[in-house]
Amino acid sequence: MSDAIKQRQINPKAESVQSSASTWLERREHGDWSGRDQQEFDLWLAVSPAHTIAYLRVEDVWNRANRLRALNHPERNRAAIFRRWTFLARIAAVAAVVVLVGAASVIYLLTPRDTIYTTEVGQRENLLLADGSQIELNTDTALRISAGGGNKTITLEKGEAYFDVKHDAKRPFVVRVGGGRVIDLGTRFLVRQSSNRIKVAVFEGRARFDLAESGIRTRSAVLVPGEVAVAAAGRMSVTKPAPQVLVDDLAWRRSELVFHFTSLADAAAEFNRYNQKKLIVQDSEIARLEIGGTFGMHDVTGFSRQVRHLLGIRADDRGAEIVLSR
Amino acid sequence: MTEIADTISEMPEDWPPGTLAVRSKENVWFVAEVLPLEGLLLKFLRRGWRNENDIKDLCQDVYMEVYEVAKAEIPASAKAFVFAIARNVLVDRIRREQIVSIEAVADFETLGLATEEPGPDRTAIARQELRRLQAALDRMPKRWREAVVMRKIQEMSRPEIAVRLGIAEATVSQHLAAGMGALANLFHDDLTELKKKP
Repeated sequence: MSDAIKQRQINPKAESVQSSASTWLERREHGDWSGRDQQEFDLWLAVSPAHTIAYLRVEDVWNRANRLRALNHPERNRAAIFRRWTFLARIAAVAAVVVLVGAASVIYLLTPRDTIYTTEVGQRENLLLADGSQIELNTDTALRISAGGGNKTITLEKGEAYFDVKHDAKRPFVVRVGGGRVIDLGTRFLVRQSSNRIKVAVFEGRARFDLAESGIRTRSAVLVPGEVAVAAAGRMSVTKPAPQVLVDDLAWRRSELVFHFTSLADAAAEFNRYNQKKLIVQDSEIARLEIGGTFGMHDVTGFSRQVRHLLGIRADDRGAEIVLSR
Repeated sequence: MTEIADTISEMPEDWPPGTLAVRSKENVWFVAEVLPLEGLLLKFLRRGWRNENDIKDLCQDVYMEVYEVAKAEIPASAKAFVFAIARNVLVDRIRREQIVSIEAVADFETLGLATEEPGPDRTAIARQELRRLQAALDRMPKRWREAVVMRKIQEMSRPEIAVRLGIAEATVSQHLAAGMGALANLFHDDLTELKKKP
């Protein structure tokens, strides 16, 4: 019996632990999280593994609930799709009448139906395809889905997207991006296109990345988990960064930005991808200063407050922008 | 410049909001492999232990033991491991309470949940997930749901929600925290009863 008493004394009541964990998560969600809060939180976590577990559990479901956000804009997307269809249908119909009246319906049916999905700055969107594949669009992204041919072709017109593909050897899943394409071989991967640079990172399974190098030659690499291919100016290089770096590449899916010895200029550029309120780094000397940490991606104000404090620089909030200077 | 370099090296101490502690290998494994088993685990515990009031604590006991082991070494099969621990926790508990329930022991002997059976594939789970989240949201008390929807779907800040609902910010925090907890419970467990109503 003494065992039982001991056991009950050591383990706190699950319900009260969960309630504290939720309270912590709620506090962390908001911008006014200070170093002191973090210390308190670390202390709370250290009290019992039950605390860490309860926190992970509440946070996990809360992060999963980001999917619910997709419910926010279904009308907008549907409207966009509808407009596109009618337009294409019209072209198809006119062409059909001119060329061969009898085949009008056939051509109409064969017209590839493109769907374009877009996100604005700061937005994110989850897509669930009919085959069960999932795509998560990051900020300021445009993605075209063509369902005409024998395979599923998706074009990343701009921005960044995470793909969780339901593999089907008969209908390969192809993502076109810039001068290249990524072919899934049963996988989860990330594709990002930014100013003439394409980045493909594979998290699970395998994916083939083909890049048209100097027009005629095609360079091809089969990427395994942990590998990242970067293509710029028609050249491709494959690296295997530290696992943590890869994990941090997906921080946006949790609405976070993670910096690790990141220059202030790069960190500001990263924040600016997600926010209308822009960070401007005034001179090149402070642009090179390095910072690290995890931030809420929309917490521009909190971030500038932190760098001001830690780097001893000025942060001038002018409403539409925050200017960082010496 | 030296001063700045020093500041940076000290940063992890109080650099908010840091999640380094939360992203260790055992934590990542726990979230990815163990938490998805919760529905099944609760079913297993309920069949072995009839007092519903103890179920959450038993579940926590299982999690804590699993977690302690994972800190040293990640078990090869999460499912087999979690249910082996769950069985031990139940046996211990039954022995301690000295109310040897033959029914309970027989029950989980025949339950056969601890074996490695192929679950639904990942994409099927992903498809279910949105439905489960919606169902969880639907079954939550209205006040909590409103706060969660405004925060999560409409991405409103705490002050904005307070203005919209005409309540204090502190109350919004309470509703949100309660909603977060309820969402986790309802997501994992269809049978959760919400005792506290706002």
